[in-house]
Formats: sequence, C-alpha cells, structure tokens
Amino acid sequence: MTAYHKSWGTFLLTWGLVLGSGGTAPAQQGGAVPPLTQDIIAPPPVRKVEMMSRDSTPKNPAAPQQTEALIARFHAAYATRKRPRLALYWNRALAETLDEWYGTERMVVTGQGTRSGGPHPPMQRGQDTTVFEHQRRLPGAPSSRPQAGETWAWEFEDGFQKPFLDAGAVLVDRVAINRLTGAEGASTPGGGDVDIKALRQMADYMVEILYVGSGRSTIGYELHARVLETRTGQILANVNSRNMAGWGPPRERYEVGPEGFRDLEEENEERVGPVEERQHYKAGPHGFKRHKKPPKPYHVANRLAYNVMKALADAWEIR
Amino acid sequence: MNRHAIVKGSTVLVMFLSASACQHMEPAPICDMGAIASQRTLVSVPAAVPGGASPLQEMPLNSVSITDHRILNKVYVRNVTARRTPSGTVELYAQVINCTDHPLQTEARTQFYDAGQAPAEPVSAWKRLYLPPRTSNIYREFSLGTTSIHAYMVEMREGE
Repeated sequence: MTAYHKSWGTFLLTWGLVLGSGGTAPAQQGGAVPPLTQDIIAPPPVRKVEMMSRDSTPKNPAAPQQTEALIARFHAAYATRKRPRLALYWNRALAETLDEWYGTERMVVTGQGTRSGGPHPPMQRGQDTTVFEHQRRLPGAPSSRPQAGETWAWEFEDGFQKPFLDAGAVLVDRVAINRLTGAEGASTPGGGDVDIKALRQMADYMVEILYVGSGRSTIGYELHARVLETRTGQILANVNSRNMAGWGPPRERYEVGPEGFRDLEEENEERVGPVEERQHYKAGPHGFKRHKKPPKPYHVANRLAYNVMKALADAWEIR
Repeated sequence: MNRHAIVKGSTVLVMFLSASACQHMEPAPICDMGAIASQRTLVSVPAAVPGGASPLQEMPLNSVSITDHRILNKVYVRNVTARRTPSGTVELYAQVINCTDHPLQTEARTQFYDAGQAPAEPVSAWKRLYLPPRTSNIYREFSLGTTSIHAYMVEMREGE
C-alpha cells in the first residue's frame, strides 16, 4: 500500500512539475471580505454580577441602620436621666487653675536715696520699691491650642451636633452660658471661675472635644472627647480616635511602586484613620493612579458623636 | 506471422490480467494537480508607468499564493473564506490538504488590504501548519482592524 502511494505521489509530483514548470504557484482563489454592517457587530454581553451581601456585623457605628438604633438607644437612656443639659466645649480643655495666667519670675527693685540742695536745708531722704513680674499663659488655655479654620469648625460642629439633636438632646453653648453667668455679676466673663459657675448652674454634663494635628492620622488630625458630670466631676465617657470604632490602621497592606510591591504593614501599624477612607482611581499617562480622598470634617465629627453617644448610653444604662 | 500474433495476444492478455489483479481504490484525498494548475488565474499588478503594461503577474487578492516551489505540487488549498467576527474584525481561514504520502509542514501569513489595496495593517506572523500524509488542516488568521479591511492575501511556504 505504501509503495503504491509512493508511486502515486511520484506520479502526481511529476505531473505537477510539468504543469507548474512556469515557476508560479498554484493557489486557491477565496471569498471576498464581507462588508462591515451594523448587524454584524454583536452587542456587548449582558453581565450578570451577583455581589455577596455585605457583612452585617456591627463594625461601623456610622452605618445608617446602626445609627438609627444607636440614636434610639441613646434617646431612651437620655430620657431615663431626665434629659440633662450637655455643654459643648470645642477644642477647649478644662484648665487646672482658674486663672489662665501664671507667673514664672518676679524681680523686685528696691532703691534708697537722699536729696540735698537749695538754700534751705533740710535734706530729703526717700525709699522706693518696684516689682516686675513675668507671666505666661497656661498651656491648656484655648488660645494655645491648635486652631482650625472657622469654616472647618462650623462643619465639624455641625457634624457633631446633628446626632445629638436627632436624639432630642439639650445642648447648651459654652459662650452663651458664660455670658449669661457673667451678666449676673459673678465675675468677668472669660475668667476661670465664670466657666465653672456657668457649668454648675446651666449644664449637667460637659462634653469636651479636642483635636490635635497628627502626622500618624490619615486625615491629618486626631480627636479626643470626654464627658464629665459638672456637679461631681465624674468622667462618664472617654473617646479617643485611636480606639474609636470605625477607625484603625489603613486596610491596604501593599503599595505598588516602581520597584514592585511594597509592604505597608509596618508603616500602617503607626497610622490611624477612618477605615472606609474613600479611594478612587484616575487614568493617567502612566496608567491608573490611586487618589485618596479623606472624609469631610462633617462625617468625622458625625462618627465621633456616635461614639460619644454610645459611650454615654453604656454609662447611663450601667448606672 | 501467426506466432507473432500469438505473442502479441498473450502479451495483451497478460497485461489485462495483471492490470485487473492490481486494481486498487485510491485513498482520498486525490489531488489532480493538472486541474489545479489550470484553475490558476494570474493578474497583472498596476504598471509603474500609466498606460503601460505591467511585467509582473501575481495571484489576485483574496487568495492563497504558494510562494515555495518545494511544496508547489504537494499541497492543495481547498478553500479560502473570510467572514466578519461579532466584533467587526475579519476572520480568515483556509483549508490546506497534504496531497503526498509524507508528513509536511507549511507556514502561512496574511496581509490585509484596505479599499485602495494598500496594506491596512502590518503583515501577520508566520503560522505553522502540521500536515500528516493525506490530511488537511486549517490556517486561521484575524485582522486587527474592522472598517479598514477590504481584502487579503495569504502567502504559504514550506516549514523549515
């Protein structure tokens, strides 16, 4: 069979060479390219994406359904305390002393002299004492704390007050109660004693909200809030942005760089900030670039308020 | 004279008997290279001088041109077809038959042309086809462009 095929192959080859002796190749004429019409183009496939449902574990107290429950809980606990008045201290720590000023050095100059002259003695003798005192403002005084812009403060205060107002809390303003107390003749408004008198007379709880600039924070600042009972000085709640729910080290562990992936775990241990920090990607000439957008002060303050509310509700329910 | 006629008759008889005894069916595919060559039509490319005759004859567009004389009479291109893909690009496929009793390797590449018969995109890379004895294989290529593609030309050579 093989020999037969070989003979046939030789036969075909021979005839082929005879017929193709012109040096050109036999080939097959094919079909033309069909024109491109719109009905040829297939529509993009319909994508069916089924997303997994988000974990409903209460990790983020700022989630809508959790905030509603928290406000209701705070409202109930607040009502059992007969709706106490809450005085808000914005970035103003309660000073240790009543006076914001203290002396660091004092110089006493004492002089004695005799004056004589003129046609009529007697001589005059004199003695005088002059005291120089150098005073400093207390470190905790409001003017020494880092101050943010006014519009930033408005947004922050708005974000903090909103959850409390939603829960029906009675909020009083520090400046207003100071002025009212001062107008009653207690002392000069702004003095330390007026602060205390105003707090004792016109508020039941003092909410102190402090913020400091921090390079470790992903949003550039850290927050601290505490709630004191004005009558007794008892601390009811203490919320720090470092242990606040919803804050923590950034989620990303690796960063893509020109030399490959970079482990960020060690760096992130030092950093704190909102976990759900918004990110988006923007296309550029060198590919996609990640842009981080820190949350607005309103949302940061909102979250701080919810954490304070939770701490207060915990404290009131226990007591 | 009679003896001569007997010898001739015997020879014819022996030839007839031997021919009938050796009759086999030829396994397909069977390539009639003479017929294949007769189907070939060459066209003249446009002349360098307007109005003049072109000295160059080549295969027309939308065809497979076997450029290697070593496989000239060994393979047969059964059909060449082009169609549009759902994305609008052109899919080209050609069925190539190995007419010999020996394994063959061929290579092919495609140049796509636009409406003005200018190259629409770079020529494709050579693709290798493996052809066992008397078998066929499919050469397939896709264009990169969509609206710019109006014609094609496939070149085929033996795989080294």
